[in-house]
Amino acid sequence: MSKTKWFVYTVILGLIPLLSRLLIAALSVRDIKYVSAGDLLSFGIALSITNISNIENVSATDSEWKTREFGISITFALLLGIVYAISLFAESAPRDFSSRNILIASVILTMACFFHSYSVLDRSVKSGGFS
Amino acid sequence: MSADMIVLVVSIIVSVFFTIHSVQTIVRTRQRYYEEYLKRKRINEVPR
Repeated sequence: MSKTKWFVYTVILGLIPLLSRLLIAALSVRDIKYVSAGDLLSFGIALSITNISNIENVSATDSEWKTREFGISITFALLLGIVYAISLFAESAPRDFSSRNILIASVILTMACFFHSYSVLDRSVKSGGFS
Repeated sequence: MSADMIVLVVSIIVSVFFTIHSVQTIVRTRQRYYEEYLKRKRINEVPR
């Protein structure tokens, strides 16, 4: 997968829920939140799953690196899934969880996941490509 | 400490750690790529 394909197929498509929410919030007369933790977390999960698929298809890089990046991607997917579940709890029980903290956590995790995904793709593209 | 604070702290720690790892990966990839470029350049140089 080239960087352009990754950007178009994964980043832009993954950001569609977030972008559509922004558009609806901007156009709507009702009070709709501009950013939702769920949209961000689903983008992060999409990135980490694409990462796992990319790492599996890399042919010419060392296996230790592949195992390490695979583990980090799984950790990201798990963490994002846990935060997603907590964000659903926060919607049903707002007194028990602060939705602001959950949103901050999801922004930070998604940004880290994006950087990780880019670093994996960068190395994959530059060191031999895909099988 | 409430559950959302624990989630926030864990997210920050994990994100910082993995972001540093990602930056290291990018820097090492660039270094390796540059070294290979120099090697190729040296091989292709014709002595006068």
